[in-house]
Amino acid sequence: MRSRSGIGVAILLAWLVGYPLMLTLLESLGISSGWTLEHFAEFARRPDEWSALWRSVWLSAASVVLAALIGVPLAFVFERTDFPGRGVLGALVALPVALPPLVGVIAFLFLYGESGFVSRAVQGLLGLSEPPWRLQGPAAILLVHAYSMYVYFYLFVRAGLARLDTSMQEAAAILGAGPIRTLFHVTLPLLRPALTGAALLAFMTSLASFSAPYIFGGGFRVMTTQIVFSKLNGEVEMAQVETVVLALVALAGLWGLVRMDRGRIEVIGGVRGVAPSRKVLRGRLARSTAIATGWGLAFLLLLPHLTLVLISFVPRATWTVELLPPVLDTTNYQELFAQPERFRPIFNSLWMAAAATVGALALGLAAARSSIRAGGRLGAFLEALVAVPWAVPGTVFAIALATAFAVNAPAVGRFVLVGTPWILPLAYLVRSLPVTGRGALAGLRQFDRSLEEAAASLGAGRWRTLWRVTIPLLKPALAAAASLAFITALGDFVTSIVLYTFDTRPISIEILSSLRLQDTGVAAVYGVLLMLISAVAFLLWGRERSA
Amino acid sequence: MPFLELSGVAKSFGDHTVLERISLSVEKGETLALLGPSGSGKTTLLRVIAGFESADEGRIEVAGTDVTGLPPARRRFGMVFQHYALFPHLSVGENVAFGLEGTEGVSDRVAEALDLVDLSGFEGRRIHQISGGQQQRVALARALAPGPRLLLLDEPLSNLDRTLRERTRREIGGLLDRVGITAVWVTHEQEEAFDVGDRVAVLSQGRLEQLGTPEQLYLEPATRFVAGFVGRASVIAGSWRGDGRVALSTAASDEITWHGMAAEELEDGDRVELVFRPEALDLAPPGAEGSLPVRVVERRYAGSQTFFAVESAAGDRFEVIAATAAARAGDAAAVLPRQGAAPRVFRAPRD
Repeated sequence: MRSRSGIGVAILLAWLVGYPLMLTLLESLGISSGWTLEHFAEFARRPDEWSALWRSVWLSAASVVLAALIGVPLAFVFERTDFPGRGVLGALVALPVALPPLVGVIAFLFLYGESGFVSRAVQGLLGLSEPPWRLQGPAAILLVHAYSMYVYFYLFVRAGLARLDTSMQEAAAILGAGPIRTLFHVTLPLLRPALTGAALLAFMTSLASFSAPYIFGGGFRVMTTQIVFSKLNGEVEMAQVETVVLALVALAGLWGLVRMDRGRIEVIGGVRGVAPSRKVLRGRLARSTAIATGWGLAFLLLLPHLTLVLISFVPRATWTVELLPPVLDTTNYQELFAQPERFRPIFNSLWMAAAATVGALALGLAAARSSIRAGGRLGAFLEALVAVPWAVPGTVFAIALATAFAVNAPAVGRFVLVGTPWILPLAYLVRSLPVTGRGALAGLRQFDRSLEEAAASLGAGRWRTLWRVTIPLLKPALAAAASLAFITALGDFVTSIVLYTFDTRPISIEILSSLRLQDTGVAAVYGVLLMLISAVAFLLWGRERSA
Repeated sequence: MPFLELSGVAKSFGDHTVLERISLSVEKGETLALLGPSGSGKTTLLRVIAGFESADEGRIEVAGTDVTGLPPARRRFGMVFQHYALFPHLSVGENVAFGLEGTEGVSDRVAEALDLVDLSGFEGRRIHQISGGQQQRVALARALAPGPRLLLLDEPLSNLDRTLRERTRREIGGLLDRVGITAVWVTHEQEEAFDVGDRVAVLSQGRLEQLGTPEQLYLEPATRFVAGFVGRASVIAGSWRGDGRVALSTAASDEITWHGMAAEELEDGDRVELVFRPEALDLAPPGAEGSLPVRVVERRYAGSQTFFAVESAAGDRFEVIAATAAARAGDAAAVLPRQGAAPRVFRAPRD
């Protein structure tokens, strides 16, 4: 009976996760119009496809390097030294990761874009007739990537450093190694799992990144934007081929990085000895430098958020050539709440994200339970299926879902969902599965099975056990996963742009159209609301983990 | 008619046989201790009785009705888990009330159950606020509160420290007698099994080796495994001469013959082992008639008794309990069975 429900869950997951990807592969090979490699040959013939592919790869590699260069030193500073405000600043430094990608991108646009604050300031200061730079091309994309992805390195390395056994460093010191040698021969090698973990996350996120290349790329196309433009141009087969190629690159990247990490050193888990002590900065100069740098940094990191808030109070067409906006009022907010059509995207995003979160939670929990119960191959298969949407870029999944669910063939499990209100929640659900599934897995692995048995021995049936024992105990893990899933779905842009319909347009799509209409204030209002709702969701549920 | 009856219960995980057709019965009000080393299948047997594992073969009957296919929730058994499995998100009172939902007078029955384990007034406490010993008693109260037909205990004392364990053992044993409940108690400690069990079932590698009272197990072990696992065994090699006689293996030319009871079918000339309890042997001066010459290897003073580790010329090394002054380490001595000693004789394992 148990394995039967496990197989049921496996089939459902395979249909949602594996099937669309497989169909995309088959379609790109011409399953419906006769088998052919012609589409792939066409891909290979076009130089712009090759350059998009190459750009995706090098941009991702460069993003990893930049993110590491910012994140690793920051982690060392916050973990190894002590200075006033360390606690607050340490939390602020992790903030960029909470900003939905598209919101981050437009905040950068308002800051460093041609008519952004910083650009205007520099232009005015130097008396230039033109903006000092154009926020475009690879440099702009890298800037955004570095800003949002250093957080991975920062968090991972801080965690790694906190678990590091000081006695290792003391041993190195007693053997005569100086600080530099200790750093390169002891500390960094021991941090390798943290570093590869962060690198993997940054690489995969960059590869899948869409908002920054879409807004700043212009003619500089990477794979994700190339796919969407092919789709918009009606080149469906080309979009499918590009999708397959990007999926393969992502899987190859994943495989390579996991392989690199195979010889990883396990000692880091052995928490013994004393946690490394923090060096307290004593000298007055050192202290004031640290404080100034710290708060300067915090200001720099918060600048995008602050900019967004400020712009949201600038009414349309009131800010032209001035250094600072001359008029600030709440017109934009009033319009939003007065006009139902303007409020619609917020309502859409909220219900779709909520529905997707509930679905992803239920399916993730079912998959995790079945995976643990079934064990063996079925268990591993379920675990892998749940993780697939994480390894595969959002654009790939969007195209795969668009391919699978644009055809009505119930006999082979295909229905027309594209163009209906159901496709976006479904897409969000699938994309959230890794978060909820892994959260549930982690929770269940720590969960003592005998608690369920105790409930059964006391006469509780399956549902009562689930409601009264299993779910309450998994609540912290599930709540954290739910908040992450909800936030991701709420701010989603990548899958939305491929699958949205006018009636179900989410906030991100509305931000984009407001920008097109030069309605920067309205776009900022949407951004601010997205930020606020995300923050509330994070504080409401994300915190339970620590409780 | 027995209250709980297992007939031919077998279970394997893949190729690995965990239980080999086990049949046993427990009388109403009796406590049966399931004793065995780790991996003997005792916990699996308990889980099969509880319904958490299903038996591949065999039947389980309670009070004359078949419960083999019944889910655990409908067997009306109580269980005390090894790590207690108390619900950490519920209070002590809510834990005890868990099995009482849908019945009348819940709070009275919770108070009653807590009173039974001397934890009156603990209803509002959180699980992590009470000590390990108290958690153990809450687990017991929770299991007993719904008035189960049968109580199953899975190594209930293994999480307590040694001094607390002995006291708790007595308390629970007394409580089970007072309540008059039928119980199956899994343990790997012989002392615990003897203390709490009216009868003890010894398991080894999925087989039921022997089922009997503690006295039967100690004095008349049915198998060589039981002889070695239950209590201390002093083993002397020899060969079977028929009629309860065993010729000991010695270096001397004269044959030394002792008496023992065959625990299994033996034929003349079989290589056998004579299994004594250390207190059934005594030290004698070297050369005493019918004695086995040995060398004293070690003397271990344990207060009420003194153990002598001795070694015969044939290389058998075993223990004897004798007067403290009987010998010193290094002395040559001899060993004789005490009056009334009834050692068991088993066929020597082939190696």
